[in-house]
Amino acid sequence: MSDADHAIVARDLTKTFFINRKHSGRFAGIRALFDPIREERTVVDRLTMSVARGELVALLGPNGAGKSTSIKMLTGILTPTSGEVYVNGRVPYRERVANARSIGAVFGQKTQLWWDLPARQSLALLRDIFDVPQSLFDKQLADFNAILELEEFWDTPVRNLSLGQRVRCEMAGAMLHDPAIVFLDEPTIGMDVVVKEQTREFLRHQVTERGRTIVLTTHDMTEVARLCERVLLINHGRLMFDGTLERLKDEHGGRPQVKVTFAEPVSVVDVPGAHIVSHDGMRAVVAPDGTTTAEDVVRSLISRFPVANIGVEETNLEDMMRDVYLSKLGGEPTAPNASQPA
Amino acid sequence: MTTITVPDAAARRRPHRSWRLLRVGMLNERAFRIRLVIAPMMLAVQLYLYDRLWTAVFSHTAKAAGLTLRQTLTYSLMGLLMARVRWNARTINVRDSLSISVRDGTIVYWFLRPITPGRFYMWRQSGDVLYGGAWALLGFAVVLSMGVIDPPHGGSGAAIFVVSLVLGQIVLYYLGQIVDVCMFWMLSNFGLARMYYFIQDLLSGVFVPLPFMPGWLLAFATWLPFSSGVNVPLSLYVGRIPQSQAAGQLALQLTWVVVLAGVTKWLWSLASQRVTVQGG
Repeated sequence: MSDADHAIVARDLTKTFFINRKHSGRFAGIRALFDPIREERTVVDRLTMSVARGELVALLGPNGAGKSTSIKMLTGILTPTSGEVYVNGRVPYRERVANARSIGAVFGQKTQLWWDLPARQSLALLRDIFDVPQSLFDKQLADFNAILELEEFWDTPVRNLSLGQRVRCEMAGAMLHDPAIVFLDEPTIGMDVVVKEQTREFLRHQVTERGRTIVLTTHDMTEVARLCERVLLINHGRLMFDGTLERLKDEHGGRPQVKVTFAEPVSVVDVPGAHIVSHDGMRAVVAPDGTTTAEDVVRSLISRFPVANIGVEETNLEDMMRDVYLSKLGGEPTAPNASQPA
Repeated sequence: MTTITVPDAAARRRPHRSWRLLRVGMLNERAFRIRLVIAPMMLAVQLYLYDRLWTAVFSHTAKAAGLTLRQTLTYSLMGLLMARVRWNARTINVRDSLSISVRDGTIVYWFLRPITPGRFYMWRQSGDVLYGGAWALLGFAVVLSMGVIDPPHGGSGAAIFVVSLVLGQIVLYYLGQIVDVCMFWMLSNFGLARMYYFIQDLLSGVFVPLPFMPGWLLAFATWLPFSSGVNVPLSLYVGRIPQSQAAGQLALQLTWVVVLAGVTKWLWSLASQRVTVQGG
């Protein structure tokens, strides 16, 4: 695939900030004024990635990993320190105004709606800002309302909306002008389960029915598992994994764990073909080492120890992420996957 | 799958509708209807107190600082009304202002719109000015009809005043914008903004007519752009500056407009290169 076939292409994208460090000791405040200590901090480090048109990808990582900064460079809000970035064929930070027509964004903890005005009035103001024709505005609102059920609260001032209601309006606001690419930075943070599911349905609809490209950052692993086929893991600003969820499971989550509770304290747990993840006398977590299966480990445990309760647990996505970070610690960023441009 | 709509060339050619942001200021005020009562009450109290104050000052003298009581009252009361024009545009009061947007991180959205942040700022501020201007105009009509202030000196006097008033408002708009854009470097400019608005009101003639200032302060103030905002239009209105000197004063105001517009544009270009988003 060439660059033109991709919605988003980033090559060696880097962002470095200078921060002022505090002086210590006497007259620290005055010394900071005349002799500030400036420290360079690389937040995104040579990020290379691409997203195909109509794809929904998750950008994952722990707090401070560089997810939000990456999103802000992709949307053109921040200017990269070095590297290349193309969104819909444009350099976003150079062509901000033109770029704005083809992208939408929701930053979950920040609102673009007018706090004291009813939500529908805010959406009408966004209609004017994005110069959306009235016919398209009406159609979009009807479409969004069908899934997000906005009409129940869209005449309420934004300041009186619940978080879930507000974020649903934010979603509508971000897609009102029919953007091809949407960036969602932790959109469902703090929402209840019902609203989260409603939001997921809306996002699925936008990808499958409207053909939008969506880049999603989240800490909600259920959301990732239900929405995204492809995940990008970053940590310390570097890409640690780029591939499908299935590949992530195969490479970093294929080992289920056996959790066992003993009928009486056991001093040493020793199982052939497995390693002990944890053990506190009455309980243990045991993982097959690759030469055995979880069923083999269960059989061994039952035959060797007084077992009161036993079960097999699949590794969850958070554990897989941890495994990726640990396995890549100190190593080079992951190789680009097959969908990346040459 | 339906395709995503891309605005066609014809749609792009029609005037952009972002001018409709002018109504945000009015809508914000309507959301708190009590403000629609408080604003005229405050204005009425201020105008009454200034009237009483200056009448007391002139009780034993016919002229002070080269002005008569009528001239002083006209200058002072119209100065208060002119301050009301940009009252809501003093962005420390408004939640969707540039200052607060930089502070709470919602500035991100200013850079995600198909109009520049500077254009968005202009429409928002202009809406607030139109709203404040409507109150000021109403106040002007009331005090003029009550005979508390003098009318302008003929049609030419009124025309010169209106041109000077508009240029003065543009000067104050750019000065306020420069303070706001400083947020991109300071990240919190509320202290600076408060200090700025005090200095602006003092050195433009809102608090006290500039001719009442000590000579050195008056000379200092006339070298600064604040004087172009309020003192020049009001001095032309009350006849303190004769109409024969109006062209020079208007040219000075226009020079300030051009200089400040250039500085503002330059600051915006620097600011957009160094956006910092607070709060993750």
